[in-house]
Order: sequence, then structure tokens, then C-alpha cells
Amino acid sequence: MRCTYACGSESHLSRRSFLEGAATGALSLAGFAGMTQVRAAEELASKQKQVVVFDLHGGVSQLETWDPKPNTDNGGPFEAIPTSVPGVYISELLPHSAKIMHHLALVRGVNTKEDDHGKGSYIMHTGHRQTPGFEYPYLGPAFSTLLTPAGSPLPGYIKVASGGNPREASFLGPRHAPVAIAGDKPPANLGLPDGVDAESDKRRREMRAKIGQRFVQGRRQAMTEAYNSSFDQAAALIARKDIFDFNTIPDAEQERYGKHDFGKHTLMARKLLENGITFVQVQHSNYDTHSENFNFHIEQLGEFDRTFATFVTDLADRGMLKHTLIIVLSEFGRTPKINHLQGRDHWSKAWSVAVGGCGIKGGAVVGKTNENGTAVIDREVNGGHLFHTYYRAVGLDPTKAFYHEGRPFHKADPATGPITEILA
Amino acid sequence: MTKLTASCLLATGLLVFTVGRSTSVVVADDAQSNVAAAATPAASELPAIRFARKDAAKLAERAKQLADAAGQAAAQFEVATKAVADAKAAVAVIDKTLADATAAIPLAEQAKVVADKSVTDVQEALKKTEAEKANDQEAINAAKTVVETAAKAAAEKTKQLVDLGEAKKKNETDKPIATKKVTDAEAALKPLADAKAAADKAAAEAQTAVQAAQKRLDAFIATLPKADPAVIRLVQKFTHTRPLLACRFDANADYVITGAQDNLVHRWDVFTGSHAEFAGHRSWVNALAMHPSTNLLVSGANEGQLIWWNVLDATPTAQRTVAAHQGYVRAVAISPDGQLVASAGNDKLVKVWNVADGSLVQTLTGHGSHVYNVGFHPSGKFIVSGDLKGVLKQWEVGTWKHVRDLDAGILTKYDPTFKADCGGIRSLDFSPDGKLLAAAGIADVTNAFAGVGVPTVALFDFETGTRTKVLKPKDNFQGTCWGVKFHPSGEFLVGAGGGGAGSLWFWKPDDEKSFFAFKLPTVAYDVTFHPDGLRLAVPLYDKTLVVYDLGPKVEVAAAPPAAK
Repeated sequence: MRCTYACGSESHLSRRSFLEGAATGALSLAGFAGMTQVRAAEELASKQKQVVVFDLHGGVSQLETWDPKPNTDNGGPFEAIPTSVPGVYISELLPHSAKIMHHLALVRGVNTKEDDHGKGSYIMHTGHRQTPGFEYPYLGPAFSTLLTPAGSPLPGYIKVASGGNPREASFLGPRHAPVAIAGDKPPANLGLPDGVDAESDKRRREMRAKIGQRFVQGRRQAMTEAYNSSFDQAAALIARKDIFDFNTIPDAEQERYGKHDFGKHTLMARKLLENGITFVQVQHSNYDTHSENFNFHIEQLGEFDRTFATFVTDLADRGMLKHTLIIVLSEFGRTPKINHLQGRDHWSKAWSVAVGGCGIKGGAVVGKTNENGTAVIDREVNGGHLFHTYYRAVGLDPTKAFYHEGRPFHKADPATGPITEILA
Repeated sequence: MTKLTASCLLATGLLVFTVGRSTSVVVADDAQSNVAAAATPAASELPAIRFARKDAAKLAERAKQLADAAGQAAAQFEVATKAVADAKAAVAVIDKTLADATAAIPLAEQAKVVADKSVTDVQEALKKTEAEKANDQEAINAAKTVVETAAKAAAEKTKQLVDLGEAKKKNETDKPIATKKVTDAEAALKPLADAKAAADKAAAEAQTAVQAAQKRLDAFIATLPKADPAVIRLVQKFTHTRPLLACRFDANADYVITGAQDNLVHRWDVFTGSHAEFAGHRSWVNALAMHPSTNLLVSGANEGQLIWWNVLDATPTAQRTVAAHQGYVRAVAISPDGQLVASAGNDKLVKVWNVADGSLVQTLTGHGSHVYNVGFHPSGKFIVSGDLKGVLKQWEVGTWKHVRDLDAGILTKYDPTFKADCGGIRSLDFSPDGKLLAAAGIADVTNAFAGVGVPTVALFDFETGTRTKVLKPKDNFQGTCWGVKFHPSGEFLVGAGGGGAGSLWFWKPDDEKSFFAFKLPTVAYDVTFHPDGLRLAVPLYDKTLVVYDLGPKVEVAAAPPAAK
């Protein structure tokens, strides 16, 4: 869905603000880069809400994570363990997460009624079921639009370890489309070409900007902006490529997070948040365990658990949890019934999402599934409820729609409302 | 709790299981000699014959018990039948009494009327006599005597009438009670009649089974039996409420033991179908090992514990619980001399324990991933363990030195999408002579999400440590080989597993393609041979434990041949 800027929407205003910031070009970047990590974090704490999404790709099993059903026909082999929140039990595969449960809230009554990977993912990232003619913006571009401070030189939305699709931004425009980075590697080609030094690079970008501005006059629309913004963004990224440099991270840090891809990616996410990125998404792949569900969950959650708990603890210790919303989601859960391959299949009727941090009541549990996990029996919610909750958690009004070409695009399904039980 | 049913088609006869085990040992006359033989089996006798003999004796014992039970049921039925007859007789007596009283009352009333009239008449006569013969005291006295006699007779008739009325009333009251007694007795008779019919049927079937078992024994003695996968057929089936994961027979093959997804070990009596649960684990029971010469069973489960049990306990209770591994216990094995238990776990460790006291003898470190299996070499000199990444490690018992690695890397794959390893050594077994080692699992994985690959057994020459053969199904089957066992003869191996469907595969050690495959109702997670070398048991995903016979089919006549 092309962005035309005819609507005067929030995205327009945000974009204008961004361009105003960007108009001063790469010259302003040095100031931001000069901050120390802690000071930057404190600075952010005072003004900016941030979001980090952990996307457990393929569909993590709710029974092996947040809603265990031990000793039932569907329970599987794992036990439930107590957490830092009295009375709340989670799977024994999450011993580290259990210790930080007071920072998290569990939504155990999710029913998204969609067992297809793509469609399920769409619901979880847009809050809406796919509807012909409506390309809802994903949560990343939406929050990048609404939460990124004016003048921020860096992208509002960075995806770590998964591809970035420009369509996620929909009408919000390419400025808010995800910038994808592959773990410990910065976006490609951040270095200057051979024979171009910093000074000559600056001069050629200024020249490009002048020519570009002349071209844009009288014909400004999203495509031209996309073109410009990609240069601006590239320039900003080049100036701040140190963010992506893993060599600056002490080995002990990587050890704490786990010396595997997900550890690196999560450490990168922390770094990005510390450097002011509004919305960071980390993918952990893969949980589509139609076969060997339990063996694969031992492997995958063995990676996820310690890394995730270390991340949450770090955010808490650095005072970042107050302004950073954490969301742990999948495209759906997995079938309670254990199949003949000791696997679990797709199950969207009764599964769980974990959230924490900004605006969330730590330790809260809402929703309940039946004895062997096949159905929600209390406080059923869907993508709409979750989106109302995310927006409320970061202090935004989800009932105020985006407008595109005169049509309202609801930020969260108006037929639903926030899960107030878990809001702080 | 769990709900269980069992059916049995042992040999070609039929057995109907009843719940509960009898402790009495009563032996049928015609099986006396066999029982004596079974009690002191000739060491040299072929296991197939020895167990056929034992089967016949056990079945005869059971047939006698069932015959006794049928006799008792018949006796109870007879008592109940008599109770019905007695109750009916009591009603008949009441009816007769009532009828008699009813018939007698009008007569008594009539007699009373006559007697009363007679009193009136003689009183009139007395008055007349007193008036007419006032001076004839003798006549007056005579008349008075007549009056007294008449009054007495009338009183008697009145009493007779009252008595009859009361008798009628009493019988009318008694009749419904007596009638109810008949109804009750008849109601009590019905279940006893059913029980008698069932007991008669069970006794008859047991008798048929005895005949079949005897015939089987005779046939085996006449021609030595040989296991032949081509004649495989179902002979027993035990049904549970959760998928079953592992199985073993006890040394006497009186029981088949299984581990299940309900965190319990289950024991089924193969002769009676009676069932017992062994509670103590907190997770799925994937690992079972029977001691070679005692009743010790050691089980291992995914919570990381090993438990020692007496497999024959009437009410099984854990004798010793050992916190063995962090994470799953994947496998457990007992040494051929019965002194050591080896366990393998997700903590990448192999641990060796003292059977006698459960103390840790040695921890074997070196695996780089979850250890999926462990086994003792038949010589008892070595332990072999196999892990998720297809590494087989050989350890020397006693010195605990790591001898060498054997490469079963074909049974594992790093999946770049999952960013995880899949596969592993699902099962391992040595040939009885110790020359070959078989390691089973899945190879050629094309889709780790769906477990798509080829069920495979890697066969090693244990002397050289080289992989000599890669055994696969002859057809294009996709799935995992969860269990592999050498036949006691060493002539062939059986693999059990499945993917979309379940299957057994039979291989000769020198031929990479299976020479026979048998479709199972669903995926099998283990396989074990009956000590007779003719039967095998398979725990299935569909919650059943099935026993198949590979022995020669023995025809059994439906009825004894007619006398000539």
C-alpha cells in the first residue's frame, strides 16, 4: 500500500519531523554517537518508549513454556517449576525465565483461530486478520512512527536475524520499514568504497541532497522520500556502524548471553535499544516441531531461556525495563495432542504470549486453559486485545486510527479492548 | 486412574483374561508331567521348547483354576436357584392357607349362625320349662345344662370364625413379603447365571488354549521350531490409555513390562492379562532394563531418575531411587554378569552404578551432546554409548578407559533451519556373539520438521570398529527406526519404528535391504524378543502393546477327533 501523504496522518507528521532532523544531514550524527551507553539509556528513559519483540518463529509450544500441563495426556514429559511469582508455574525448560517471572506477565488465553504460519504471523504482528484491500502496518513500523523522537538519525525499526519486508510498513512509508541485520554483522556495505575518504563522502552526499531537494519540489510523494530516506538512513548507519560492531563487546558479555546466534542477536538487540532504536525484533528459529517436539524444545528453549532471562535482567538493572516493552510471541502455539512423531502441530485455539517491562504489571497471569490445554476457559483474547494492550503499555491511544486515503486503519480491533489485568 | 483392557489370542487357542492374580497353584492332571519339567527345565533344552512347555503348564494351571472357578460359579448358581424355589414354595404355602381360610370362613359363619340359633332355641326352652315346670327342679337344671352346652358351642364357633379371619389377614400381610423374596431371589440369580456362563466359557476357552499349547509343544518337540518373519502374526494385545514407549519381558516371560507417557511402568501378566502399575517416576519412562538372572528391573525416565524394582512385587514399590542425570535418562542397561547398571542422559554423561547398592561406580565423560543410548558388550568387557550427533563411544569396563569412537554420523543431521541437531542413536544392540554392533535411527533426513528420512541401522564390525553395512527398508519407507534387536540366533535383526505408518523390518546382517517388512497399526517406539526367540513385543503410539509370533503355525482341531 503506497504512502501518498495526502492524509495528514500521524505518520505524515512524524515523517516531516524526521525529515527536518535529517535535513541537517549527517552533521548532527556525531553528537548522538558521542554519548556513553548508560547516559544514552538514561536519556532515553526520560523521553522514549521502546519495544522489543522476541519472535519464536515456527510456533513455540505453550505447553513447554508458559502454560505447562504436567501429568495429563497432553502434558508431555516435562515438569512444571515454581517461579519468582508465588503460585505461578512454568515449564521446567525455562528455569532462568522462572527467576525473572516478576518482570513478566503471562497471557494464557490467546485464541487467534488461525493455524497458518503466514496468516497467524500477520495477526500477531498487525493485530488484525488479513483482509483484502487492507494492508495494516506491522507493530514495528507503527511504533517506529509513533514513538521515534523527532530528529532521530537511526532507523526506528530494526529486525535482527530475519529478513525485513518493506510491506510491513504499508502506508506508513519506507522510513519505518524494517532495517534487517543478520546478527553480529552490520547491514551490508557500511564501509566507504576504496578511494573515498570521509570528507569527500560528506561532500558528495551534500551534493546529492541539493540535487534531490530540487527534484522533490512540487512532486513530493512517498517514492521520492523513500529514495531520499534510504540515503539519509544509509548515511546515519555509516556514521553509527560502531553499534553493530561485536568486537567492542567484552567476551564475558557474550558468555553471559550464550555463545550462539540467538545470544549474539539478543545482545545486539540490547545494544540497539541502548542506542535509541525504538523497535527491535529478534527472531529465534525454529519451533515448528511437527516431529520431535520435545527434543527440539530442549534445544531451542535451552538457548532461549538463559539468553532471554539475561536480557531482561540487564534491562532491569540498567533502568531500561521501565520504558521498554518486551513481547514474546509466535505465530501460534502447538497442538496439545502429541502426535505419532512425538511432535506437536499448529494450534491457535489456546496458547500463550508473555509480555513484560514498560506499562506491564510484572507477575500477572491472565487467562486460563482447561485441564489438558485444549481450550481457553477463562478470559479468552485475540490479536486485537493484545494490540490494545501493547499500545496502552507504551502510553499510546489504540482507539485513534491511522488514516490512509481517507480510510481509517484501526490500530487495534475496536471490537476488543486492552487486557487491563496485566497493565500496570 | 488408568483404565485397562486386555485380550489374548495366545497360540491359536483363546484366553479371556480376568482381573487379579490367583495365588493358589493347582495343576491339572494331564499337565502334571509338563509342570514338573517346567519347574526344573533342562538347561540344554532349546528356549523355544522350554517356553512352549512352560506355556502349556501355565495354561493348564490356569485352565484348572478357571474350571474350579466355573465349578464355584455353578455351585453358587445352584444355591441361588434353590433359594428361588424355596421362596416360591413359601408363597405357595401362603396361597394355600389363604385359600383354605377364605373357603372356611363362610362355613364357620354358617356354623356360628346355627350355634347362635341353637342357643336362642335352648334359652327359649329353658324359659318355657321354668314357667311350666317351676317345681321340677330337675327339668330346669337339665334345660340349663342344655343352654350352657349350646352357649359353649356357639362361643367355640365364634372363636373359630375369628381365628379364621385373623389367619386370612396374616397371610394377606405375609404374601407381598414372600412374593418380594421370590423377586429378590430371581434377581440375585441373574448375575450368577451370567457369571456361570462366563466362567464356563472362560474354562472352555482355557481348555482349548491348553490343547493348543500342548499341541504346539508336541509339534516343537517333533520338529525344532525356527523363527520366520514371513509367518508373523498377532498373538496378544494389551490396551492402555497413553502411548507406550519401551518394553521388556521378565526372564521367565511371565510378564511384559512397558514404560509409558503417563510416567508409570506397567506390568501385564501374559497368561492372565492382569495389570500392575509401578509409580515413582515423574516423567515419561523411556528406559527399561531387566537383570539377567534376578527379578530386578531398573527403569529410567525423563526426569533424570533411575528406579530399582522387584518386577514380581504383587504391589510394586520403588526399592531404590537414584537421581542419576540432569535432564532425561535416555537409556539404561545391566551388565551380563548382573553387577553393573549403565545409564545415559541428556547431561552428556554415561554413568555406571553398582546393582547391589545403587552407588556410583564411574562417570564416563566425553560425549559432546545428549547421550541417547548405552549397552554392554556380551562379553561384559565394554560399554558402548551413542549420542545425538551419531558418535558411538566404546569404554572399557573396570579401567573405564575410553577405547575409541565409532562413527554413526549417518544417523544425525544438523538442520540449518532449526539450528539444531536431529536424529541420534535411537537404539543399539550387539549380536549374541558380540561380533556386530547395530545402531538405529534416522538417516537421509530431508525434512527435520516432519521427521522425513529413512529408518536406518548402521552395522559395525566390533573388532575393527568399521561400519560394514547400512541397513534400510527395501521399500521407500520414511520415518525413524526407534528400536533394533538381534534375534538370539544372530541370523537376523528386527527394527521397529515408523513415520506416517508403523513398521517392523527384518534384515540379514549381510544384506543392506530388509528381506521382510511388516506393517504395524502405528509407530513403534521399541522392540524386544520373548526369551523363546519366537515372539516379540512392540510398544505402540496407539496405546497398545502387541505381541507377535514368528514361530511355526500349529493347526489345532476345533474339537477332539471322533473315536473310531
